[in-house]
Amino acid sequence: MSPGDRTSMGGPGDRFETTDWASILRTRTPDDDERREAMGRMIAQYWKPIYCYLRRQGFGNEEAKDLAQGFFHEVVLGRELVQKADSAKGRFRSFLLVSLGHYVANVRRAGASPRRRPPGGVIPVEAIESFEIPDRGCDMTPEAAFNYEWAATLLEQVLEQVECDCRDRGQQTHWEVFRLRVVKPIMEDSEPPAITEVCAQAGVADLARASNMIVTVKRRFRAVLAQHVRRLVASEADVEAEMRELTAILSESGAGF
Amino acid sequence: MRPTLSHLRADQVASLMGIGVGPRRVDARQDQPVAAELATLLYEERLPDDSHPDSPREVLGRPCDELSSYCTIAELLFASVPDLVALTDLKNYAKLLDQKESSTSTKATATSIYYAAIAAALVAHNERITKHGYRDLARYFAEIASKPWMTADLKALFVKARDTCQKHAGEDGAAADA
Repeated sequence: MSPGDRTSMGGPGDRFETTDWASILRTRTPDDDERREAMGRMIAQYWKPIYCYLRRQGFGNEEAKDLAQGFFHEVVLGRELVQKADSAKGRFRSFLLVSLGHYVANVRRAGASPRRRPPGGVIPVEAIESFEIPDRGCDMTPEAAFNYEWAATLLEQVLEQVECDCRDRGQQTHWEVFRLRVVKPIMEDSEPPAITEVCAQAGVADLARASNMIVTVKRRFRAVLAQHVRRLVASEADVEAEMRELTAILSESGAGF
Repeated sequence: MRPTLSHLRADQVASLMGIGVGPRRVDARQDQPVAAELATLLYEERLPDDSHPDSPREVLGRPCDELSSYCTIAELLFASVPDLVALTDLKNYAKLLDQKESSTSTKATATSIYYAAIAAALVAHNERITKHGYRDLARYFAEIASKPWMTADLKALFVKARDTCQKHAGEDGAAADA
């Protein structure tokens, strides 16, 4: 997979999606509009991990796009996934990954491309989001690629919502202090700057106040992450387990990709 | 605007996830009061403007802004890139807490935190924030890791720090010769 590969699949990334177990069950509704909306949300949320999984399975760019379309059309829209959802209720990520694995195995066994795709596919292309396929080394397994992209997508949403929440509460400086001290060093793989430096950059005179701001936003980040994960699991007890499992999977993958 | 994280390495994504998850709280051994006290000190959420008599701000007699930006001591000790100033403050705080307290369990807890701060600086930054030599530190870490009340997460940190010290043990002599 090369970093230059781009795909136009998916929708605009500026909307808050709420795909969850409830959404998948809503795709059962006889109401066409409601069903389409539920499906649209689900596709927007999950196409990236699915596409990356397929690329790591060795499919080319176009083939992976085709298969992703096929998965949504045949398995998700075709009700197979919905029918299984009730009995398998648990963690949505694991459920989708297993279903995808079965789908790819079936396609390979049949030796054919996915069928019955509507013209233009089911993944909206009209609102294009340019997606650059990450180049994180060739040793990533398809499952690791799926989990990585799943976590990255989840965290993108969480960071966006935390920033929006801060803005809505008039706490832009809180966000900026948190971003400079916590988020930016992780994203740029650098040492966190000293609080004095953060204060100078964010225009905060009181160092203790800056520390309070960081803790406040960390707590909000924690609450928003839990809120997002809650939608993807069947019970409250699964929320922390899902977050820890994702963290463990990513940590075990190490710095290699 | 939504940030894009697809270019990050997996460990960077894990670190971002870690902001929201935090270190896993270990279960303290019920038969060991020190373990329970240690776990409380490690994982108890502190208020940033804490004015409790045993808070770092009160014990050190000055603000500890770097340290205060962490929700818990565990969050600092087990961060992938813990702040060195915060670790130094934590070490100094634990040392004073040890001198200030008379109860055996609190002294043991403070000693554990003191060495944990030194261990975290060694493991994450390869920095020695104490005058103790590497050989002595390796011995102290091994000793404290073997305490029956030591929590599993700190024990793992001390073992890593001991290994780091053993790699640097030759530098003690070189420094003395210099």
